[in-house]
Formats: sequence, C-alpha cells, structure tokens
Amino acid sequence: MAVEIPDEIPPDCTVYRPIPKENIKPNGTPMSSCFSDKAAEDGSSYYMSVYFSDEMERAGKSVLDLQQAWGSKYIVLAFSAGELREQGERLWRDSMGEFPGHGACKRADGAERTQGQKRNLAKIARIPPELTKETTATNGRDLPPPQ
Amino acid sequence: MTLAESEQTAPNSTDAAIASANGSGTLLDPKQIRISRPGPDASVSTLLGPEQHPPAWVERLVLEEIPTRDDYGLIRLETLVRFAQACSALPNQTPKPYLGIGDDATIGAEWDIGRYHIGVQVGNNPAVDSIIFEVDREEPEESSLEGNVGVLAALMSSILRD
Repeated sequence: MAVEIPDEIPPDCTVYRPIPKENIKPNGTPMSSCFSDKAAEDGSSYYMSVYFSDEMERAGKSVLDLQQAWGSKYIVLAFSAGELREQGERLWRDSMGEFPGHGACKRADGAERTQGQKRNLAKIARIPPELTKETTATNGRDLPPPQ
Repeated sequence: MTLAESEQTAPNSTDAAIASANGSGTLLDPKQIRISRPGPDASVSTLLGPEQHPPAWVERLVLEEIPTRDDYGLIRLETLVRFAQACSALPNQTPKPYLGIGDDATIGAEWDIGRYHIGVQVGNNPAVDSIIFEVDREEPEESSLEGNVGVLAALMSSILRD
C-alpha cells in the first residue's frame, strides 16, 4: 500500500526546475522531455527534482543563487505549486545536496508522466523575472540553432 | 485536423515497409541505418523499404546526436531502432525536429510548424512510446506510437501541405 505523503507546499510557493539551456526552443518553450521523472540512485522512487522558494528564502537563497549553483549550461524555470497541482502533480520536500529547498514533483496518481502531461508542463513553465535579463543576453548565442 | 482524421488517410503499408534486423552486413536493401554500440550484441540495422526516402537528418540524429546527448548511456539499442523507424517513415521534406533526452530515458522529438505542434516520444519501455498533436497550444491529443507510425507520417504530410 502506498504511503500517503502530505502535500504541504503552499499554493503560492514558487517551484523551480533547472533544465539544460539547450532544451529551450527558439520560440521560448522548453522541450517536453525536460519534465521527466528521474530514478533515485537505489532505483526505488521516481520523481522530478524541483526547488521550493519558501525553503530557499528561509535559508537566505534566491533564484539567482540557484541559477548560479546550476551553472551557465542550465536555465531555471518556474511554476507555482498551485499550477502544478492543477496539472495533477503532487509535491513534497526531499532535502538533497547542499542547496536548500530541494523537493519532489510527481503525478498525484503515482504514474509516469505521459508525453502530453510533460507538454502541458512545458507550456506553463516560465523564466523567472529575476533571470529574464540574463536569458535575453544569451539568446541567440547559447541556444540551439533553428532547425 | 485530428489524429483520428489522419488515421483515416494513413497509408496501410507504411509500417510494413520498415523492417529491422540484426546487422549481419548481408542485407540487400540499398538503404540501412546501422546503429552500433560496443559490446557483444553491438550492431543493429534498421532496414528501409526501397520506396522509402527518409528525411536526411534521421541518420545523423540517431547515430550521433542522441548518443551524444544521452549523458548516462541510458537509451537502449532497441529504443534507438524504434525511434529511427518512426522518423524514417516521415515525409523526406520533414524538417529536423528539436531533440530532447528525458531523465526517464525517453527520446523526445518535437516539431513546431505554424499552428501545429507534433511530438514523438520513444522510451526503453515501449508502453511509453507516443505521439502528441496540438493545434494553437490547446490541449494535446495523445496516441500510442505503436501501430500509428503511418498516422504520424500522414499527419506530418498534411501539415507540411497546409
């Protein structure tokens, strides 16, 4: 029987997801494949890694710090917890690594995310305003060439 | 246009035109895409029917770009072959897709063509192989890729004519 994990993340909490910058298409939409679950090292649990802004802020970290921690090959995307729940996702905290606020995002029914569900996440993901300036500066240089 | 409408116009022979075989090097067909990795069962060839003219980008995508992007070597040979087979059925004027490798070891190919979005996903578990089709960023229609390679080809033909 599956263990119930309380979904305690406030709906207005910003949820960050770092993805490889090369996976942003020229129209600004990320590839759907960026929103896949990943196996834990022991293979026991699958989820998509995210970071929660409330916990980051309590530890004195901002999205700029998160972006810096992931480096220039990545771009941090943002959702609200409420938006992800509307898409059928469940969120929980799962501290991992040195950066604070790490957590998990998975389909509420425990199933693997389908391609259509990944695509819906890609459509609502946005670049946080704090990072917009930096992204504009790199546009056309680091992003993949048009097909 | 919907996936179901494309299904009605899909050629019945598209799937049958593609066969795969272990690469013995003795296959007589003029066109093969041979996919190899080190190891005892290294070579797999995707054999294309003589009437097939796959898009020019397929071979490079399958042989070079996907292995390069698959950082952890998670994508299995048979997954690459299924992806190559699906892409090889597309009209030869199909533009190169955007490519993504998911943390769940899926290969994702996407096309944004005018109002249309088409996505193909192939994973190590064939149950996750799928097509999505979307118009004007509305809710995507999703179908299994298995048995629908012809639908994908017909859909792409229709969009490219549009």
